[in-house]
Amino acid sequence: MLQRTFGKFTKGAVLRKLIVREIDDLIIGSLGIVAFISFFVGGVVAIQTAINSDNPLLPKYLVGFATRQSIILEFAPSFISVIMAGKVGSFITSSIGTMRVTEQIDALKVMGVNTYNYLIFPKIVAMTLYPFIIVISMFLGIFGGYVACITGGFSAHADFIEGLQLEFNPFHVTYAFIKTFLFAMLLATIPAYHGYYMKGGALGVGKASTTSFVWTSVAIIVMNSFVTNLLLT
Amino acid sequence: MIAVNNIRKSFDGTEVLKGIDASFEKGKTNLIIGQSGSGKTVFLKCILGLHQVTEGEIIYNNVPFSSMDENAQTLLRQDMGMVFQGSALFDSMTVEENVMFPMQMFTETPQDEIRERANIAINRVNLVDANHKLPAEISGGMKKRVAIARAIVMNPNYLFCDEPNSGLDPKTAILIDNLIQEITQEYQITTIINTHDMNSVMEIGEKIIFLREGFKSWEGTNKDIFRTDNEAVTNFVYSSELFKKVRKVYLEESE
Repeated sequence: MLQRTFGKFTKGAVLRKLIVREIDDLIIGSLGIVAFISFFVGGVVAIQTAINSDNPLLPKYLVGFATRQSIILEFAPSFISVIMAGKVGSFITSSIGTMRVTEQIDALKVMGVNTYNYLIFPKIVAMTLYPFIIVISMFLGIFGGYVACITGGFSAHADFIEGLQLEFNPFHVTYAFIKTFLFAMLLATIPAYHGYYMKGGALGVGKASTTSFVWTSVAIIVMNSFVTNLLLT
Repeated sequence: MIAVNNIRKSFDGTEVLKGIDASFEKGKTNLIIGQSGSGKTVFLKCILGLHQVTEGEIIYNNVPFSSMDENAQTLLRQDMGMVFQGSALFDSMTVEENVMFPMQMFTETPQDEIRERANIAINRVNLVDANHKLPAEISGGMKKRVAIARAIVMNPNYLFCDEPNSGLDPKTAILIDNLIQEITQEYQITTIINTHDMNSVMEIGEKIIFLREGFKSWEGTNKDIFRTDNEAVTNFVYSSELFKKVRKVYLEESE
């Protein structure tokens, strides 16, 4: 499938329009839910850290430090990607699957269009912007933690900021973006495969979407484990 | 002209097409008829190259489809128009965009000219005030017209229609049949229609191929079909009392 996706290319002007549409559907369309989840989960992470580390011997900056580490290393790249497997993945599978059921893919084939390139390549290109979503998620997650701590009285402003800046290792951000990019490729290709090769009617589209979500999530978790072992140990 | 030589097609060991020979002439409406499950759609998809045949040859203007390289097949496909059973219009595009699509994909024609040619095709199928509507906003008959307009916008030499009348009221069905026949004769296209609409058989069947259980059981014209003594054809075509009477009247009048 991937070989054909990068095979005979669709006309540039048409492809550009498709890429812009996919960016709108897959990236811009996901910003709202990502922002909402990141802000509140960041807040919950900070509150949980604060109420579970009330030992006076523990430093006060711990809440900010733990929030930063959990958001940058795991929550934003991995947890959001699993959520995106449901949001973006289901969208990709069901949109391609519906085109299969309604013979739109056959119509494209009859015209001589390389359907793999026409349908899948724009999604892969759009998903290269996926790290942009994760940057927003990281920022809002930490900001949510900060807001929750300050408004709830779990940490002082100075302590939280100190924790955020403490022992900051830039490679952690690099690591997060390496895996984000790999997750983006999984998010574009696995659901596209399940949509393209789905069988059956409307029920088949539903089944393909569910299967695609399960396999994309599994692939993300396995990839996460592999990349973490490779880069951080 | 399209010729089909002894084509066979199997799915998971089940043979659906069992050695069919046929030829389809230019400027004629060629009909493939047969009961559901007789292999009509598979046959049409094999001719289109959407299914690879297990055995046999499909020949377009004396050139076997299987001997063409990818570029030649792509060029041939740009010379084909297809009207799918469910119209297969692109949901996210308006009527006009659907019709413009093949030209946008395969020609370097300026946008204004593409729009003009798309509108000529839309007018040719008598669609009025639908250019900016989405497929979900138009009726089944209108969708079929859009599909026909999209199929003819590149001035193809081959037109394929998979049950173009299914789900349409009798009046609209006749209009669609007449439209396809007119276009076939006007542009001298080789048209192949897959149908089990008996009105289409009687009205526009310039050449009819009857498929039964994966075999070609009968071949003739809409005139021949009244006189045939092929039991399978008569059982299928004249299954209703109305068509039995039509046949009787036709035969009495022609004697």
